[in-house]
Amino acid sequence: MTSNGHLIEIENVSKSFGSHLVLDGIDLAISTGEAVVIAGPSGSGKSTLLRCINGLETIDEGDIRFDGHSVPGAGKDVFRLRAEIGMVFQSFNLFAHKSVLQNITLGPIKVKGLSESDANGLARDLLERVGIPEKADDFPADLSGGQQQRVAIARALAMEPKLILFDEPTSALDPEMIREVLDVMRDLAHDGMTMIVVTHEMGFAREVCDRIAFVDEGRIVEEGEPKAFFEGAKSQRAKDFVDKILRH
Amino acid sequence: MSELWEVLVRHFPEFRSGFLVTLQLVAVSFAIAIGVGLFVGALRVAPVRWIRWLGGLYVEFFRNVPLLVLLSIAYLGLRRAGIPIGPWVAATASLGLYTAAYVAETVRSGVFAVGKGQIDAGLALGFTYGRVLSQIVIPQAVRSVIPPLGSLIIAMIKNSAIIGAVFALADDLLKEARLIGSATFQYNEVFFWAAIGYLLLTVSVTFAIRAIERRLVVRR
Amino acid sequence: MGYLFDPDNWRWLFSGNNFLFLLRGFWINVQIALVAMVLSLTIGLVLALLRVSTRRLVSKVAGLWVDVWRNLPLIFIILYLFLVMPESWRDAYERWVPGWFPTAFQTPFFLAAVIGLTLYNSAVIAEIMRAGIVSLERGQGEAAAAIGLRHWQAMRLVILPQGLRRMVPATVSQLITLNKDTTLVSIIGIQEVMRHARIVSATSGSPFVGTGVEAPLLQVFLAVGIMFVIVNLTLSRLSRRLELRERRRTGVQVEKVEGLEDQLALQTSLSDER
Repeated sequence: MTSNGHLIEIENVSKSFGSHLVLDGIDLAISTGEAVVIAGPSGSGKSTLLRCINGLETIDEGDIRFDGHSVPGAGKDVFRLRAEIGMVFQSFNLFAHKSVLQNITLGPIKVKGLSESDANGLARDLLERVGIPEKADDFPADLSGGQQQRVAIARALAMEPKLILFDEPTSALDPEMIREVLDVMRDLAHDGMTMIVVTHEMGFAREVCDRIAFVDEGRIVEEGEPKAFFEGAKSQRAKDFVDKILRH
Repeated sequence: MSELWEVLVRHFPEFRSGFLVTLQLVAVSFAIAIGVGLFVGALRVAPVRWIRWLGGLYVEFFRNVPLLVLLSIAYLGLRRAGIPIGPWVAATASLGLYTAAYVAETVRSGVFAVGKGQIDAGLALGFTYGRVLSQIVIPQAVRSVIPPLGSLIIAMIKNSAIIGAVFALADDLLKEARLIGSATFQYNEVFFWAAIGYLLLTVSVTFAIRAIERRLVVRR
Repeated sequence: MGYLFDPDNWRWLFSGNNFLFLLRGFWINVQIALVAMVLSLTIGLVLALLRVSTRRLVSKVAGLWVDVWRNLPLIFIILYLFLVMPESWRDAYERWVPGWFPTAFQTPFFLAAVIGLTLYNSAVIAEIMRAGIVSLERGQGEAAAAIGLRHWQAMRLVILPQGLRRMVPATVSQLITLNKDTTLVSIIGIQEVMRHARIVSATSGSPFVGTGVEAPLLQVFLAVGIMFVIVNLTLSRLSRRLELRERRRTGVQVEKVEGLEDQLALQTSLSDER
């Protein structure tokens, strides 16, 4: 833990794809136990910001520190940091050639050196926690989208991460499956898991998260508690965004 | 190093003529392949079952038979049977008919790639079937057919080398390289330049197709 | 047409051991194709891995190697090796070659044939494999990285097991091309089906070395062609079946080789550009 108590410190981060500036001087700090939603219109750079935090994308300027260690400065050792940061993807990305159980145990066995029986026990506990213990031996292709995403969450949890990143975890799901995934995420937040969630689910943002960061055109335009954000956004762009969503 | 240049300078006329012959072989064979391929491709998407079957028969035979067997049939077999077929005709017809089978498959998958939804949408607008074909299906099919056609040309360039390697059907780049090689015994140098010749052809087609494709990309 | 289907012109097929002799020649082609395929798959995999290496220089050099060999005519490569292969290599091969190898494999120029086929096909296969690896890297590779796996761990545990499985149908398709290409080694004097065909046609009509039944070249080559069509059609049906099975099992599109061998490679390199 760093002196000022933040688990994640994002400082003046900029990134461009070619001539297109996607992140334009982002500053954000998150403490252990916080659940932060990053909201904003599509193409505003939210997902890119998230992917920079575990080093899946490189940054051009600034620094990101996780637990006191610089992510861009980690070089080849970035995989050590990633082992402590879970990530849940929009398209689930379960390993198609491995069973549900093997998906969850791969990281603990290969990265943390757990024995197979310990890893299996852990995986079964986690499947219980996300509500699908009976699917342990199925393959990803046999599962519904909601079930796949819950396995992906279990896979992230199996590494006992200090932080989990959610990259639009419900955007690829049919409406009736969104609930089951959000419920799992809500429980995680209540249990004190530190999480950063990129999502369009404003109901989740309002009820579950501690803080919302509103991103537009690569900048954090507004940041605050959900209640304040939804009832009295200061900037015009955030107001328009909230209006559009509430009317929706 | 100087030997390498010397070989090129001294034998440039032969290299050039071989290169041009290869180019001509490919051009003529490609024209045959496109003509026959479009026809067979049309058979493959025809509404009548036995016509489709006929197209399929053509494709499966010419696609699965080695080009060298076709060349042998065309040049040795037909001649022995009393059909006086010239070396050029035998060569270009074999390469052309062989590649036509692939062209036909490319055309067929290009037409299928357009999708029934597009055809339905056209018909729903009140177009006739012919109009739907000419206004909607063909323009879209052309786009999806260009990259595979490009790789067919590349494959043709490479396959054309077989023509000069057997029966002395044509004095193409490979044949010229062998002739220069056997006269000078500088096989390494000679084949180096011949390789450059072939790479020049195959790689430039790759880039040309890339450029055309980039221009044709449907903006979404 | 009359000439083509005239039963008299086909009688050779059933006289003496003509048919068996052709079949034996064809079997040699199949054996050469299998040997070259095993070598090409092994070397192709190594090349593909070098190609996706995180070291820029390694990946560039491997890329150049692959691009050169797959863009040259196969017959060009075979002829070149045939013309320049040092005598010492041929001697070494003749000394090494085990006696139980098929006779066609024992000739000194067999080395040139196999090296040529392997140089070309390993480059083509490397390109197909690279495409498979790249297509998996985005989702599956990122998920593997996110749980803390290193590059090579992710490659070994996540990408390759899936990539190689998806490659199976494409490999079977490439085997068809390779099978056809084996006829080219007749040009450097290896006794396979094309040579056997010439021998059948030249000897069958003679009452002394043959049976006195004329075997016209046209019909003999047609018979050879039909052998290839039968085997290759079977292979392509198999490839199609494997592809459907794979798609049903994992729900993903498998790597495909449509038409000539380079189609897939070109298309994927084009889509990488975008």
